[in-house]
Amino acid sequence: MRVSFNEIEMTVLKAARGAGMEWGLAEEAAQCARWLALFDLPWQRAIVAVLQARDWYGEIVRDKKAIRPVSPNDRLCPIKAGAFLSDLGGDGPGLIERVRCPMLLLPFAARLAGLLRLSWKEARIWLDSGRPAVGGDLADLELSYVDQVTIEDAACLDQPVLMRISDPSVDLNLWRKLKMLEARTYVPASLRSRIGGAGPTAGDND
Amino acid sequence: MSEKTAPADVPLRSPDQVMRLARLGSMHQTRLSFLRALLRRMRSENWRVSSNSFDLDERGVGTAIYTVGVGERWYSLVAFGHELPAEKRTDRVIAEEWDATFVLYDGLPDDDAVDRLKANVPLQEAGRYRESELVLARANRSVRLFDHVVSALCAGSQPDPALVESTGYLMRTTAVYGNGKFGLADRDLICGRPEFADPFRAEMLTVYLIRLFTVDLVEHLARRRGGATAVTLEPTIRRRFGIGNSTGLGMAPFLVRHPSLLDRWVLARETALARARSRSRAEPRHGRLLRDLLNSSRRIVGDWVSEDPNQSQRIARLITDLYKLERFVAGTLFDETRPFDRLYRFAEAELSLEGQEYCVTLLIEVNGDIVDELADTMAVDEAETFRIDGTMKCGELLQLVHDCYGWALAFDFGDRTARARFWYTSEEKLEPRLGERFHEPGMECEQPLAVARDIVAIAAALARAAPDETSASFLLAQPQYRHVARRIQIAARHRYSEIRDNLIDATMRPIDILRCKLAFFGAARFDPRSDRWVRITLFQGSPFPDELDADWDRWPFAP
Repeated sequence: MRVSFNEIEMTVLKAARGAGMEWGLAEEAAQCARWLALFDLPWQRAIVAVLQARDWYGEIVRDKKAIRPVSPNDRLCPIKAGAFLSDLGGDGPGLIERVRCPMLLLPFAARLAGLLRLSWKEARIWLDSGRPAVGGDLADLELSYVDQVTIEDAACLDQPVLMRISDPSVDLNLWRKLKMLEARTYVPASLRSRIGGAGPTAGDND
Repeated sequence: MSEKTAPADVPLRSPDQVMRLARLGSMHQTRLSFLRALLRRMRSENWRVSSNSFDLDERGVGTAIYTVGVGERWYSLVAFGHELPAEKRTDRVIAEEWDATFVLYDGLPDDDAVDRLKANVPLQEAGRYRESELVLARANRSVRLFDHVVSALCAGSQPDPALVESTGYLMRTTAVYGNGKFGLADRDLICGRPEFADPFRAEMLTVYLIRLFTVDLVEHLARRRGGATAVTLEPTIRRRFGIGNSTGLGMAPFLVRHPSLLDRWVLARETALARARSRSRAEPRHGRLLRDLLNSSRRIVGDWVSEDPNQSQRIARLITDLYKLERFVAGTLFDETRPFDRLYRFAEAELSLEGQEYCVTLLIEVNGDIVDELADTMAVDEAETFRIDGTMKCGELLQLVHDCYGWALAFDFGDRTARARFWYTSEEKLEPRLGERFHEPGMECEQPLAVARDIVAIAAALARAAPDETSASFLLAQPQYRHVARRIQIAARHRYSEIRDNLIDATMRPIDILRCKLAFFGAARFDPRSDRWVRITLFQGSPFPDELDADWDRWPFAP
């Protein structure tokens, strides 16, 4: 189904909130999905996986080089880790360890200045002033988990940057999963809310 | 240095003064309002508006298409007329049928496109749209006036001017959707076009064309029913038909969710006021114009009717205020330096908030030559303000709270009345609603609109944090403050970004938020139907497309 970018953003915002994310992180998830959709990167499966895994409750430890989950059994939520990277600007670490759906880190890294290269397994992604170029093994782009993501300055682009698209579409099954999470943010009508109402107190036939 | 480029000597009004709900809820349209700026652009760029087809039967059922040429681009309003039984006519968003439904199409639709639109547009939210569709809207008739006008024209006479004036429109829109809703084109797709670069221009154009459709429709129905005896509307009466609009809570969260955009809107208006007040000398034409405007304002405000007791009192007080302004202007004001500043200061000292803000409207009106360009400064790229600077230390962030949110810290949220309400989204219609926190379920689904309360909470948390801790690590550990940390950093750079009141207080009036937004649109004749629902009129008195070259510029004040 064709959707708009605004629908993607708003659906993911509410789905993330419905999944239990704090509002500020849900906003990050929404922008993340919108950015990936803008470049026609496969965001849906990854977002749904992350919202179902709910890793954002886990604690993160940082040293000079890397961030990783405190517990060896935990995985990093890429939204939480990505938001941290974005917050730090250029001061962030170069290694992100034990992270779920690493592709979701891209929109956050894209906010950093300059020409960067992110790599995991055989996937290579360059970010040139916020625009992505994809190389290496494309199958690895969508990995659901990797032990390590490297972020480093790059000297030049090996691939052309992706063009923005204008007509994003979604997989209906995955979209429905998001809509089910979104529905958790809605309040059913109660007798009192109907009485208090949002409408006028007089009729509209005039 | 010319007056136009000289820095404004009179400072901008402070956000503590401007951004209170009571004042925002007293605002009136100005020259910078979106529909006025749209008409100025339409005129200066010679937009070409024409009726392309008008295929409706004697009940008003069928399809009409209007086209607008803007340079080399075309836009089309595709209008569908329906037959609506009275019992189904409701302005609320919960309606499922309307008297007419509309879409603004990007280009000239071919037959296939019209067929596709015909299958979707009448369904409104239940239809699906493509990026070729920019705006979706619907409208209901003001039955009494609509039928009266058709009958009168049918019988060869003009409608009763008093009746026309008391309603002011043939139809009122009950929703106007843009920016990607239901698959419509995203704003990103059109904001690069000069005609739609400023906020809500596509929506305003849609409403303007709907207005044209409504007067064409009554003339058409009169012709179909009355045959040779039917007449068309006299131009002066025709211009008295604007478009009504009914708006509820759905619109309220927008201004809270778009802080940097709200800042741009208010900043433009406040800059215009400051420029007017800073004008060192008035010319004779300014005095004449101001007196003319005050003269017509008395009539306009006199025609402004509301059944709401509070608003009725405010209108009565505004009329008194207008007399005070007239007396002040009749003196030696224009022989003195900075006459507009003196006038404003008089208003601030002597008039109600309605009167003060009406005075702002007049000052901006009289100084069009030095303020009109500000209408082009009211858009913002929100992506630029989204990233949080996490290198900022907690101590700095806390200082920003004290600098920008002193007003919020003054509220006592231990008091139940200060947190009596909560904003949520209704499952029934997916629309924003305001609930009673201590009497209704759903608090766990509260929307992040309780800015003041959340500011108080983050201030307490920041006070406990080490001052040299980075906000990145603070927010990593306490992500519940992330949305409000973002607001603080936006507020630090955008002084008018926040409504400086408690939006969950038991006494908060949502219509104040609605009125502020609607005044920026260019609405007039605010008529509250409850504390969370308001009717307004748009484009009343404005020239039609074929009249844009006439003496039209001050149409909101036209007799």
